[in-house]
Amino acid sequence: MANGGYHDKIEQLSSVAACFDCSAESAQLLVSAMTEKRFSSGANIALRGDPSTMLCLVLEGSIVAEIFGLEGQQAQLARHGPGEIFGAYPAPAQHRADIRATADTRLLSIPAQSLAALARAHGDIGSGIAGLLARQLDLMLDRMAARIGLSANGRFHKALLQMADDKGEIRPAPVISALALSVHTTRETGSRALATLLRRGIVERNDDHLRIVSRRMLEEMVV
Amino acid sequence: MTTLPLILSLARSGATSRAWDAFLLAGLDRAEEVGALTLKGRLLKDRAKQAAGLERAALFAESGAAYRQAARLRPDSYPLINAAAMALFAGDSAVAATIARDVLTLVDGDASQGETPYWREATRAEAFLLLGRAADAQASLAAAITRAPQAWEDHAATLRQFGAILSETGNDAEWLDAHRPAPSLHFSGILGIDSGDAVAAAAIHTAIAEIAPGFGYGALAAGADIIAAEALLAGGAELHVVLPSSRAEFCRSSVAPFGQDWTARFDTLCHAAHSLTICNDGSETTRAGIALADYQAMGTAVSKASLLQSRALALRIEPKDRPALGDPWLSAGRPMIHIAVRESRPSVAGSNVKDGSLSFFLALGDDAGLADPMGYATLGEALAAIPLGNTSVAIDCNITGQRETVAALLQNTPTGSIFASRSAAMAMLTEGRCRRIEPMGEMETTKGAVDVFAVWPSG
Repeated sequence: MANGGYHDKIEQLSSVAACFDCSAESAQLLVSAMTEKRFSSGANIALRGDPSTMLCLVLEGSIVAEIFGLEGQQAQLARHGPGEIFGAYPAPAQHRADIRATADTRLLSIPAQSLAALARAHGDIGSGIAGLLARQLDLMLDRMAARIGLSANGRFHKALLQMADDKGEIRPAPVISALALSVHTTRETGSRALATLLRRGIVERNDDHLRIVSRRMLEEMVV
Repeated sequence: MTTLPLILSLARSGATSRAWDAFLLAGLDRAEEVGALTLKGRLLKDRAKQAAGLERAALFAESGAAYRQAARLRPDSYPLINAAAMALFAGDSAVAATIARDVLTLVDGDASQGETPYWREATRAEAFLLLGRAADAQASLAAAITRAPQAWEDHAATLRQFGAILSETGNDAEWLDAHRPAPSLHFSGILGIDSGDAVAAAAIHTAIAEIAPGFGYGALAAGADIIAAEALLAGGAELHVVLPSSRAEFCRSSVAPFGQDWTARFDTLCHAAHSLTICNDGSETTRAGIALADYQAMGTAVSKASLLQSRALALRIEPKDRPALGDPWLSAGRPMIHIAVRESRPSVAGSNVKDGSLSFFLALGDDAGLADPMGYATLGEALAAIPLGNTSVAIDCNITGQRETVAALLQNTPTGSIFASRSAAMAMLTEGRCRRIEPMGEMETTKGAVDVFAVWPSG
């Protein structure tokens, strides 16, 4: 990996496992082939026509894909935030738009062909990519329809409810940054949402797990 | 039962009649199920609040009956205490007392009742209040708060409910004030303070210590803003930073020109802040952007205070001879505290910021379909253009001039409701032009996600 110490590595593994919905072993294989890249807000990541050889996962921040007409008029094709992917898969291609960071942004990138090879060799990685692409398609369609869905907090609360067993326990306690990423929000939003639940006593933290104390109250917060 | 969340969402949006119609259409009024009965109690309560006289009392009674039936199916203090309160609002204090005694029996006999440690004791307190045992209610409420001292949203729900009960029974509600959370503070002030100006710093720290806010909202320009933010953290308040442009751009335009000292303090505060909101990522700092961020910070302070049943205050740090003319905070008549400081260095950078343009956009739906959105220079003009009658209305404000957001919002707005983007909802709260907002979720667009609120204009 290009950057990061032990904690960054743990975060990357958890994030990749959450986004690809794969085993720890498969996440390790993916992370070993990935490179972390950071871009300041406003920085150009790629230009239209550039070779696109990587699939990128947004860990933090956001990027936009923009095209410019002959008269210089700008059109934004897409915007991708935490937990979303962009770039090439399964084979290298060309960028069809300029890619620019709209916030301080952290990406994990993996060569498209390496990812395709991992998908062929490991069923859970292939299945994870299919799930990731399906979620991304849903998001794109939601954006085209401009539909009102759950807020970032609402998605985080719903994910906690879905992870809990019959006793309301989530074992082991989730890595919050990874859980946040899996519901397309930031680590800060996830941390604040959990902190609110803990201080209100709706969720309690134990040594190795979280417990939902009031399922009804948490369900009411899925907005 | 997937229709319950949809109906609850309609109820939250203020479309009370439509929510009730949808409930009936789904046949849920005949359902013998806890979730449906609890929602029925909620919907009837909403309808009761909009009714008057005998109809109001009858609807509260029906609401109470639904809650009580839910509690019969599965003994639960939440619907049962609601049943007791509804009986009181229906004018039947004897039934309210009977159910309140049942609540106490249930809570005392079952350690799992009450949902959370706070609500277990707060439910007991409400039962005491409904029984007229004021001293026991006060002691129980104090105990509840001790169990979850930072469950402010829950404390506020109790304070709101106790206020209604005490009003209904004609009793004094002043004792509730002792349990209100610390106020929310919006802060802003002049740039022209030297980083070593001990006199100004002492005045700002003293004022904030006296106010003792629990939550502070504002930007972090060099000078007064940064000193106020440091004072908030020193006093143990949550600091919520709202910037008009990206952190790097704001630092370039409004912090760094005043010296490296300020830049270091700015960075420290950004890291220590409880939250950091960027209103206009990717654009340069403009006066219009600053105005939009001010609306966001002020509106959030007002919203927080309303959510927590506490006070919202503004702190303005400026020379004595420079009154806060045109400050949107003044529109609502909320309290504003001034700290007079002397300008100890010239505000060089402020003059380099471009004007930009802040506009309010209104979209209306009617029988003929959706009209093209209209733009207005002020919020007041936009709200004045809302017609009387049962229509759908969407409001947005932005500094880019784009009308796509308001048009997309309107497509999601139920007839009879007003939906606003976060920026417009916060502007309405700031200017005191709405009495309530309710979060409705997030609207995904190709330009990013937009937080959506149902709003209820004042007057």
